[in-house]
Amino acid sequence: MKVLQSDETLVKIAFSGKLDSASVSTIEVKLFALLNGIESPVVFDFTEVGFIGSLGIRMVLMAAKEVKRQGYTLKIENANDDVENVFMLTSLGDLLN
Amino acid sequence: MSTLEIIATMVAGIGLFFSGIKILSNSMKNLASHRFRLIIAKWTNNPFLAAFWGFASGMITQSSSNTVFILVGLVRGGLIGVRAALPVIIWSSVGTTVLIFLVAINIKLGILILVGFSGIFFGFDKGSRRESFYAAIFGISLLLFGFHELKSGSTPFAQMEFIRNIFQYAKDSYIVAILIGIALRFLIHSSTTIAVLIMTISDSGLIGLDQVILMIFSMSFGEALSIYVMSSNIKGVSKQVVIFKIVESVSAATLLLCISFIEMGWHIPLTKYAVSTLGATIIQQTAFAFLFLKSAPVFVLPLIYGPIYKALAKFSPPTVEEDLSETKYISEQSLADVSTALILVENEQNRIFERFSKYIDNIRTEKESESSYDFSVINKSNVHLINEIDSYLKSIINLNLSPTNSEIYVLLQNRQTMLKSIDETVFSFVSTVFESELSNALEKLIQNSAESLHVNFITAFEATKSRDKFDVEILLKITGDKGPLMEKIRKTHLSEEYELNQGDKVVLLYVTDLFQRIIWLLNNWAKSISTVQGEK
Repeated sequence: MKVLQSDETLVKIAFSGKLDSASVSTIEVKLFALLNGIESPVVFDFTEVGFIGSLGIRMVLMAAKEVKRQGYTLKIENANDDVENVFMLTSLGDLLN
Repeated sequence: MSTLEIIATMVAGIGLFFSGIKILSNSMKNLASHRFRLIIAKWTNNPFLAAFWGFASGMITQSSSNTVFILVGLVRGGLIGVRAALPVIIWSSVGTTVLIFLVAINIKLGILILVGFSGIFFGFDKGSRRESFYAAIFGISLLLFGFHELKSGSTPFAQMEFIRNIFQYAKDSYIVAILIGIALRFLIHSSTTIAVLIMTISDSGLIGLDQVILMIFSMSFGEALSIYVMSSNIKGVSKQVVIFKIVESVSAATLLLCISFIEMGWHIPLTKYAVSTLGATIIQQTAFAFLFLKSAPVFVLPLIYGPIYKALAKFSPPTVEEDLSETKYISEQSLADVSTALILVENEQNRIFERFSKYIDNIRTEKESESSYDFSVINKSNVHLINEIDSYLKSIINLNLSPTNSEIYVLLQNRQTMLKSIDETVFSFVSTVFESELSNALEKLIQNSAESLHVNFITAFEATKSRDKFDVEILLKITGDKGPLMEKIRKTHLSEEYELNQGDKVVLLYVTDLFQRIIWLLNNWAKSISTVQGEK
């Protein structure tokens, strides 16, 4: 997980590899610390994400909840077809840019 | 009877016997209503009634092994606990001795009538409330009929020339006498038949009282061996019943053989003296030796029921299925307070709900934990728990419900209906995927669907537990209508681009339909949570 941009206009975070149970457990705390007290919309860059498991989707769901709680929106960019399909099957297509 | 006929009769007997046990076990699970359970529990919890039941069962069926396997069915069905079954087992052994004294009571006619009538009632029943009861009786009668057939084959088997020749060897050696006792009981499956055979042989002067005593006492080793083999497919808590029977047989045989050797070696008047004093003829003495063998455990084992029960629980712990099938919250005692009982039902339902994501773990490549269970085990235990909750809810409706409790009751009933439907649908989804050989194109879609379903179940469970407004909102959102999306997926995958074979196409249509149904059911579930929330 890498923060590409964090200012008053946008918070952009890039993820890479597999978003499965193992990786989610290591990045989750750091991600939610970053999302705490944001002052702009958030974008997750999935260019380098090859797979997303159920806990990965759940993490995104919780992140969307947190961002919404602070009055902003969360969007996902550059997801590959597989990842996009999982989001569509989970009725989360509106998160995709 | 030709040798082939004898063997065929014995094989048919074994087949009918096992089928009887299976029918009995399955019907007992269905029959395990709270009211019926209370009656059985009342019988077995009272030591005198348990002893009477055991004695009568041994006497009527002419076999304590039969009683053991009937008890296995009752324990499996959750009708009685292992602790309550222990006195029944030891007293059923005593019951078998009655017939040795009466020698030739033929209960075949009774068994045939029972098989006939129970089979007719069972066969013609069209799913009435009594179906499980008829099935249980049919199972018992089939079990008895099978055992009778086994014995029918065993009796001419025991009269064969080579069997009689074997007894000649026993005349000169105590060890041979013991081995013959063990082997005969292992092969013939009926202590009564062997006791009668030994009576006949001893009466003809082929063997003396020493050999009679050793053969009769060592029979129990053969019985233990035979039960061990016949119970190879039994596991977990119900296996404890079988192990106890083995302990009973081995301990009785060991104790009485030791006493006999002391008597023979040091000429101290003990068992041989007792049987020769009590019985006037060798036939009567054989009957008394048999009575000693079968009644010895009654005087010893009840003193150590506690430690035995603990050892049994340690030696054969519950299987995963038994563990998952056991109710954790609802119990007879909790029916005393309706409000508490309703909360406990909800907790028990949540336990079932939590397992739905474990079903999906069976077809996911990325499992979240290693503690996943086999989907068929989850299904069996969920069906059992759902039936338990159904029975419990039936008991609650008979209590005096306040208007508030009545509303909660209706909500829980609705949840119960949804749980059943979700369980059936998820099981079908997982078993279909698990058993199908999928092409790469379809495999990808199924994997994505599995991940999606998994997150749906996790979110639904969290929302059920927390009843948090936002969690429920998320759940309602992710379980929105999937009809158009599924239609699009079907069309895309059925196009020539994907090149699916006929089998894949069938699986695609079935699995996408199930996926759609699961999401629809979860949406209803989400709405039920928001109803509860609204009322709060």
